[in-house]
Amino acid sequence: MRYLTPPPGFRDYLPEETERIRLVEDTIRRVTESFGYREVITPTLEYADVILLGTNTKDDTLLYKVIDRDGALLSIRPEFTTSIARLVTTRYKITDSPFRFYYVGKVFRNIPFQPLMQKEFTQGGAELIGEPSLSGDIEIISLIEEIFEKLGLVVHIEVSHAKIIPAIIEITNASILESIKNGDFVSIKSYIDDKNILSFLEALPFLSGGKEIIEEAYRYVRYIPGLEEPLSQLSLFISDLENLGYKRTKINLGVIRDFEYYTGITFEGYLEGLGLPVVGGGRYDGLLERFGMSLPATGFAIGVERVASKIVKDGSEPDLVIGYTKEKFREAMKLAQKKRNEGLKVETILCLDKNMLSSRRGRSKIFLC
Amino acid sequence: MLAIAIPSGRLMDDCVKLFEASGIYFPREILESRKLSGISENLKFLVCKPKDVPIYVEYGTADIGVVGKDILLEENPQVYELHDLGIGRCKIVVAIPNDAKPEELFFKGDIIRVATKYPKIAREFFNKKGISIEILNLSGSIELAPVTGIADVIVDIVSTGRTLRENNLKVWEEIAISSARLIANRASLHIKAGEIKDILQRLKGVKPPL
Repeated sequence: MRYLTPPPGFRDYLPEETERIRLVEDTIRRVTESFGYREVITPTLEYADVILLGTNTKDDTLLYKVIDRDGALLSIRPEFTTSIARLVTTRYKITDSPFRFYYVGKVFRNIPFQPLMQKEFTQGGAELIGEPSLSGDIEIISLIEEIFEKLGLVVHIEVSHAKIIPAIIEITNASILESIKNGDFVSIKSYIDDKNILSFLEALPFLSGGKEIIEEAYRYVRYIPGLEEPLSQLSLFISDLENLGYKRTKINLGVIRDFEYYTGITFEGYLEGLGLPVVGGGRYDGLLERFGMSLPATGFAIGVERVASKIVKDGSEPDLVIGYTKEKFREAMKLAQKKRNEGLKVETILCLDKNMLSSRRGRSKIFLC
Repeated sequence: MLAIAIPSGRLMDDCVKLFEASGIYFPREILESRKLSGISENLKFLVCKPKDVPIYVEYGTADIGVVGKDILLEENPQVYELHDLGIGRCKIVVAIPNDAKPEELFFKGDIIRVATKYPKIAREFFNKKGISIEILNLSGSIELAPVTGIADVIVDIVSTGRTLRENNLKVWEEIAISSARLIANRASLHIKAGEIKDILQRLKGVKPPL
């Protein structure tokens, strides 16, 4: 034993915090179910190969790994989407689609420790598999807006498209991939000669707002033809959301999510005063095909603890606290039983005198002596 | 209101000049006292140790910040890098003793001990070269290490090269060029895009003082 406290990146949650976390989870459950989604449970451990195939990477440094009895390399799940893709392709037929599944559970990432970046955290999210059209992406955003609305939180959802960066790379052949991934808009300058393309890249982090942003970006279609398709999709997308009355979603072409994984609309959501995203996701039409079933898909995942940290809610307390002296044990237990059957939360405490009750939390208190 | 993290020390003096040239003035209490935070017009200034600037920005305590590329390369924080401010120019180099012959030093198969405050940059550089090294993590006066024999070579930043020369060291290879960058928190860039764009344009409008 090295220390009594949990290792860095892992932590306890006390009752007040746990209640806020459960509130977020319950809200995710309620809202996704109201859209016809059903919960699934996938195993905590998967073959490491499956996880890497799903996340489309060779980099396994972020995975917690375990060796099974037969020597197979297993990984603790770092996210749910891969497991759900595997579940769909191994347990269902393609003709059963579309699938609407949601999940709530812990994920584990072996990241360098930093505060706010827990190695173990809860994700709650939904996957819509088998719906190729924009209506699927719109459903996912509607879901997120409804969840945060129910939680009483103002979420800022920023939407972009995974085909934008590849369109630039295609036309310039520039090795800007690494820079863009790192959010480095400075070193790209040294790779790109074309003034117009460069000015688009420099403007990219600030191309955020409503439909007018699409018009602004459209000016660059002359220089980067590959922009046309993602921009017209985004334009339709944002108009539809507006018509449906969803107001928390903006276009922001500066949102860059893993464009080797995502294939269409992508998004991130932020809460005021939190420097890290609380929700993210997008369309990932290539994933299920890697598992042998060619189906389009889109989804989101919410970082439950991050959202919970912004919830303002008093901790709960028992409806009734019954203090009793040793002689009154039976009487106290009978009373508690009766009150619990009436639906109250009742705590019983063996007391030496009445004063011991005064520091206990409870809506009402009785002392039996 | 935006909060900006400024690196303390030499780079801060250059920042003050550059920002003034673009019409952004540091709060007087920061310039004239030891206070580490202050407000000037619509900007809250936070003075941090250079290495800590990306931490303040990553957590969103500061929306934007000024930090050397050397620190960004070493720490790889999740922030947007928006602009090369052109100040604080230096190179990240491998330096070896004046009398050392690189082919003997690096390619005879001995494990080389490298003193540095940039362990990640150093390890990546030597890994790519296929040279086996041991990192000695120091926090300052790196040039002392080869002189005293505690390490064989160093990875450090140089601007004029004077410290190297006066400690009998020479540059073997350049790893990267560094200068100060304007960085932004990911959430702030989305939620406060207008304010950040305004500052960025003002800073882009001035030439860095040489």
